Amino acid sequence: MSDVLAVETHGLTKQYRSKAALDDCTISVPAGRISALVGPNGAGKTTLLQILTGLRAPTRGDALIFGRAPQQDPKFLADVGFLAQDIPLYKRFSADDHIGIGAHLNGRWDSESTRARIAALDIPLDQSVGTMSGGQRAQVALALALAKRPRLLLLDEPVAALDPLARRRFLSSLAEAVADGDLTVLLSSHLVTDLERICDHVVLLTAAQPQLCGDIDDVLAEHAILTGISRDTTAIERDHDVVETTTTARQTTLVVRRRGPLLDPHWDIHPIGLEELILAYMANTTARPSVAGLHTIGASS
Amino acid sequence: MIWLMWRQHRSQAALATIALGALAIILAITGVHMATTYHSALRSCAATGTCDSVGDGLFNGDGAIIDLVNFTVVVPVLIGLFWGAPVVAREIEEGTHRLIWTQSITRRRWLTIETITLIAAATIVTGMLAVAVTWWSRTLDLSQQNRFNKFDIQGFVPIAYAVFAAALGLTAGIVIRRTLPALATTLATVVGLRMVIANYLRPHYLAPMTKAVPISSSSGLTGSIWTLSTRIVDATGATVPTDGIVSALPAACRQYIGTTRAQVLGCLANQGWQNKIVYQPANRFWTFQAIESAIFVVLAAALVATSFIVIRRDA
Repeated sequence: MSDVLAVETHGLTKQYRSKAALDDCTISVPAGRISALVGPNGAGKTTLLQILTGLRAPTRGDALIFGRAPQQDPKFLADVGFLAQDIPLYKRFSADDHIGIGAHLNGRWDSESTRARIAALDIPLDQSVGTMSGGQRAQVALALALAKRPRLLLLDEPVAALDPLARRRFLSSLAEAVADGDLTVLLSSHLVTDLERICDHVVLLTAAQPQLCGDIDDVLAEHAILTGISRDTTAIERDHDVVETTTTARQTTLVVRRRGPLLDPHWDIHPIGLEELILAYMANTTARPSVAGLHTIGASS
Repeated sequence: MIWLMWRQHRSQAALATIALGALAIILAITGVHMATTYHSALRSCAATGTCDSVGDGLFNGDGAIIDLVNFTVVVPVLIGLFWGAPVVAREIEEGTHRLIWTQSITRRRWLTIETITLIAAATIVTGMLAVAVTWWSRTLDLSQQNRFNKFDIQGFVPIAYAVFAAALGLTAGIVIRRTLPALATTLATVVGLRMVIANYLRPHYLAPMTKAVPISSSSGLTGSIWTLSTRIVDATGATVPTDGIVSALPAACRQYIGTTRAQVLGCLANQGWQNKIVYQPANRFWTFQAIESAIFVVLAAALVATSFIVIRRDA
């Protein structure tokens, strides 16, 4: 894959009064990925996405989208599509009205395939969106975000309010759209299982800071689950980063990030799944890999 | 963008058109009727020589329509409340600002078009309204000879009020980000500022004129002047306090106490007592309209400039 970065942030910080919504956040998302932005509620996902769109300005640090800082410039705005968490649409307007609005506000706009996309989902084009179901609204909003033909699409928990079937339809619409064109997606959610199917890159935020950032395969390869009867983890902790430790009467389970080969014969080594890994990091927010460490994962691909 | 504005506001535009049309019809019919009444009354009074008081009571039967016309003073306020305040506040409340501000149009450009449309709509509606009201008020102005009483609904100040109220509503909406509080702020500010300016600033746009008339004449000044104050002065020019007027009477006139008012006033006039009237003359009406309009337009411009600064902050 190319080395072009769709998203790059350095020490990005957003302070709201006394609380930091983002604290020294350095991440990168290579172009062409579908990246899952995961983390618990209040971790700073929405703030990060809104800074990337230019809706909010960071307190400190830089954000770059294809090398350009978010700015009030038609060219920048044209490159970034955004779907906010509450799926904002004009309730009294129909999907067709929205397509008309978009056509008037964007130089690059694809009315025809957007109509086709919505019609293919059996969503009436002339019905006001206020009377639609949540799933239909989300699909209309996604179609509108794609109609702009952005290079980077930022989606803020677009499936949070949807039932499982609507969620699956939404994500497959998204996957199709990405397959069709040259598009990078950064999609926030806390529903990891949904994302695993379509994402190939992950950014994990907890407590305003990034814990993981890299291609999912690399991230998973770098972590492992160790099980053993020993409760003494000092040897492991010396050579590797222990993300999470679970001890029962019979055995100890560790989630570790390897710094080298895992050779200790006292431990059985198992591969780890994305959901387990993310939960391990969320459970233990004190295990904080260095920012430099984060970079090596992204760059190793 | 213009298309979006039309799509969003066409029902408001239709409502405004219907209201203006209905009012225009009412004003046309009653305006012509009142003019006819007045001119025929003028012809008959010329025969009897009673034309000084021809306007008195002539239009007492038209109280409802006069009230309606006076009530148009609220139109600029309504424009500020229902057209100005929701422009941005409603988008923010519904979250649609995140939809519209992430299209390929800068916030500044979006706000420019919103503002121009808003100001243009306010100008057109209150402009047509003011033309209708000014035309309709002609007969009353002639017959009652006090045009300053209807200063706020005639001429071009209604347009300036509307532009100001709209700009205030717009800016309040951007700063407060919620429609209802923005609306309340706009209402309180427009009403308060209009009252302060009308009562404390307007009388002093130009230095008032003073004229002394004999105390015995009823007013001494004709034409639609705006009387700011009247006081009684004695022969030396000193003001006679109204509450101590009996003890201040010159000795020559004391004998008339207890007789008719006319006799007392006649004596005082002979002693050199006068009414001193402080007033703004009728021919300043349009100058005052221009000054007051300029004040509100400048305030509106400052508010619009503020809104362009505030719109840049975090959405």
